[in-house]
Amino acid sequence: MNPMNPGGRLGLLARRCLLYATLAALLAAFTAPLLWALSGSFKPRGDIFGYPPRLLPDPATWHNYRTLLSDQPFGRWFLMSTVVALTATAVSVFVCALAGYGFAKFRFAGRRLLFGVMFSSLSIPFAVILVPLFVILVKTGLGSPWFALIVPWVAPAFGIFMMQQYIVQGVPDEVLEAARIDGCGEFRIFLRIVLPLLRPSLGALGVWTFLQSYNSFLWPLVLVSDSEQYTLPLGLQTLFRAENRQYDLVLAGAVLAVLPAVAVFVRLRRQLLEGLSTGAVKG
Amino acid sequence: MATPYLFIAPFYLLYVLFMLAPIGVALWLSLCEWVGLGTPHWVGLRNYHHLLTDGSFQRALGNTGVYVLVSVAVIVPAALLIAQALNVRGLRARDLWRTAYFVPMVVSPIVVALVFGLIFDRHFGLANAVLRALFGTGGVDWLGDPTMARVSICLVMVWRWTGYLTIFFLAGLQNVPRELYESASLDGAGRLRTFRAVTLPALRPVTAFVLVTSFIGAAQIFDEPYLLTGGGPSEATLSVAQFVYRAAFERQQFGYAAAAGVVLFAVVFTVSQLFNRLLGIGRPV
Amino acid sequence: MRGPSPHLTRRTLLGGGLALGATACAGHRAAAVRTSGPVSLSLWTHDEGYETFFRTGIPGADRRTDFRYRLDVTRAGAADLVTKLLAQAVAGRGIPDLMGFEINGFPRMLRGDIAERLLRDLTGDIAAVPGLAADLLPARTAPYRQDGHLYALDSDTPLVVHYYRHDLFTRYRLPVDIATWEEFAEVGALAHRRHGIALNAVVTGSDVNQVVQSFQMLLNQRGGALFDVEQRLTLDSPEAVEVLEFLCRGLRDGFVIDISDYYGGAMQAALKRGTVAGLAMASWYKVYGLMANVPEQSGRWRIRPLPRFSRGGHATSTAGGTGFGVLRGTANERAAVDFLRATWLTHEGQVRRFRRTGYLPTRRSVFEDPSLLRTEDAYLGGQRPFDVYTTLLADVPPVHMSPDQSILHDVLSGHLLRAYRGDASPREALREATEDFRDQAGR
Repeated sequence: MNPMNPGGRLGLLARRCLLYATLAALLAAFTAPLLWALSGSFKPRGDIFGYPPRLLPDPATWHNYRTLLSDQPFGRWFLMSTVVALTATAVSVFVCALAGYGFAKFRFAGRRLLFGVMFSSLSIPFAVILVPLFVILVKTGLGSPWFALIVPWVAPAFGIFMMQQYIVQGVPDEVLEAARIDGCGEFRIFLRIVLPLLRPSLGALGVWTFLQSYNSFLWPLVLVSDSEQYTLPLGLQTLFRAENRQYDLVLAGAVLAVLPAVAVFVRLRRQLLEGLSTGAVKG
Repeated sequence: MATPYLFIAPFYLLYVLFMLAPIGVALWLSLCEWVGLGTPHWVGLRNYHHLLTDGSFQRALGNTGVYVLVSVAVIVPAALLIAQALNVRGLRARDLWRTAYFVPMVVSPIVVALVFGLIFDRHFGLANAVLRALFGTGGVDWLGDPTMARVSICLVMVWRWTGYLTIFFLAGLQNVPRELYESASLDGAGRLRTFRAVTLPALRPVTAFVLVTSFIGAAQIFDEPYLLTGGGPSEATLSVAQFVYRAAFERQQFGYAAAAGVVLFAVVFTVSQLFNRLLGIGRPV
Repeated sequence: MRGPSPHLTRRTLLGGGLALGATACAGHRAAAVRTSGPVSLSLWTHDEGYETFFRTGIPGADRRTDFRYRLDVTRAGAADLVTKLLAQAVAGRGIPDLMGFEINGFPRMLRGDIAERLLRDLTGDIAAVPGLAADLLPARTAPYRQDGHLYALDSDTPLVVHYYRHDLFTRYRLPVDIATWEEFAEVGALAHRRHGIALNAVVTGSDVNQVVQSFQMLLNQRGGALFDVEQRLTLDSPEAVEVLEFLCRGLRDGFVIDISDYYGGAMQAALKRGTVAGLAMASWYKVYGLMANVPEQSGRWRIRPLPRFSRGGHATSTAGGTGFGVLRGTANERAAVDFLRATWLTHEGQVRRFRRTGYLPTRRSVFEDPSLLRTEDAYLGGQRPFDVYTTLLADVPPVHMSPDQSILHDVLSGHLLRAYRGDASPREALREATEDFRDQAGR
């Protein structure tokens, strides 16, 4: 880079090598535990803790997967988690876009204050509302998982904040003005013009919300009492806490549970990674 | 005129029903004694008074402080460094790196706990096996020794959150105009000075956001210590959120749990509002 | 069942709302109590074994009672079930008719008047069956009693015995008739030095109940206890110090090994390698610990009574258990009691329960069942386990519980680990555990 640098190309090369070595080491550190779980899920129960530890299963077996799928209602847990997460995602993305749009493109009395209130809800720890929220929901007859796992969580401040940032940057005022001159109603403008322009960041928020809902643990733990309505984390935790610690099955279940999340993520990673950052960058 | 209010109304409806109302109930419950059934008894400030002298609660506060510190002073800078490395011009496979680093965040906490439970086992875990192979000694009691257990939880936190935060910094860095670097380089600024004079100021907003969200996340941490160590040994990893959960759902002291929750709320809320004010975030653009 | 009330105002919610749920489950429900006919019982349990036991008991129960049963089973983690029960009770809906309380989850029911509000006192139902009350082992009803009421019936008399690897004991010429723990310590220390094996294990992992269990099994055998019948803490005792000193010495001399939990991979690895050549553990551990983890060691294990403490105590103690209770005020209350009596408490029910789950009878007379006495256990190399169990039966110490038990387990586990690691003397550790408990209980 700097022609005056006596190290010259060699120094650059060495630095690059060091850089790639570091990145590779980090890659190993971040993925090794998961690969270890993947490998373990193909080991017979007795080999999972074998010594010395073996990286690859030998003999490899599908037994854990077969037993899990035949003896446990894994499919139902999976369906429950996925349906809840997808519904939450769809609703949440819409609500966040609505509010984000309201804050981004309108000037109205109390805007600063209302925005501050919204943003400050980020700093309400879940622990303080866990018990009372549960009591309120069941006493008003809204304790069904279909309601309680979804509705209270569809307007995360983080999502609104992110949408607001994105709309400020990504939706030009002129387009909105033009539509208004054409006599479009405000809600129609939102549906027909704003939402399509937001598509990439909606994807980002969608993946984020999906992961939040799909992985949530404490709330379903307290809320869901019917084993028919278990989500994946609850099902896995039941297996794990059972008297015989079926960690061989749990490992297989963990791999199967992680697959959709990883698949969604890898497929939509560009949108998510770029969208997540746009939301925060211009804070 | 009503249009903008209609757009933001759904959020506020949910906010009042599912945030404000529960906080109100929590405040009231914190002034009562309640076993979780029957009528709560009004006890005034007694729960708060007890919290002040409860060694367990102090430990939980201390541990949570450690988690916050690690989050703010280790994870955030590490994420910034990694983002710097990923932002090097002409880097190959950038997408691969950042994707792989993000993956831990995608994995459900219960899976994380299971996997690290296997890895950190004292006699038969992978961590000690690797140490033994490399250095000949590997008797580290990862989860059984109070100090090590805290370290282990922090390691898991670092593992889970660093890649996630890296993404924010990386995006921030990519938005820094190249010309700024070039002019700094023309001025003969070294790496460190460029970093201080160009990078950091440009990253101010994203850093502020990341700092505040990691603070809040770490202050209410529950999943990692609960699932991995159950808060032990000797409450060495107990977090305030788990203290709340434990009081309510293991000890049937709902009033006490509510009071601890309110204290956590007060601290987190005040500090993050201060942060927001100080760092100038949380205002509409 | 109470329907949702759509017009609930904020005031009723805050003021009387919480209490409302509680009255609803305290017997004020409109539904009439069923006395016969088809009935669908809602059963909550953490263990699949109980589910199959009760399901296969349906035909017999249909014959013996006026009901025709169906079961609707909810399975979840043991602690989660109690959480859910209490939460549902607050909501005034969706509570089960019959529920299994894993013994460490039950103390939560003892807090305040929760048990009295939610659970049926079974004393009268037991007394109604001639001879039953005297036949039930008092050691196994003690944990579920409060203020003279009996709220649950145990699934097991989980007698603690010493498991040992017969093949290794033979190979290393270790005596299998060690009379006292003191001799055991000497034999064990030598065995560890020569062969690297351990003859007992203590849990030092994150499950506080298991950590306490390792200690409590021997404490109770020695004649000490965590709580007395009045639910008072009795930890600061010479017996407790003696037992903890013994375990610490074991860890130092290597004949006791520390393990992260009794069932997980670490234990399995230790069993596989023969590092754990023996351990003091409950009767059910053969099925849920040994056979689950090392099925290939079938035929190599045996059981024998625990060595005695020469300074006193009992022949055995108990560890674990699950009490089944009947929820009060449901339409199925009568049906649930009858079902429990027709399955759980009959002679053949208890025999069948042993066959299906490995849990021992809770009625003394059932231990004399000829088919049980004759049972030879292939995993135990053809040994007749009831030969051992019956010798212990006369001397089983009761376990008493306290609503503050989980607080004790939290603080005690930490101090036990300190003592095991040598960071505190046994006496200090127990005294500090007592102080910490006093500090935290009753908040």
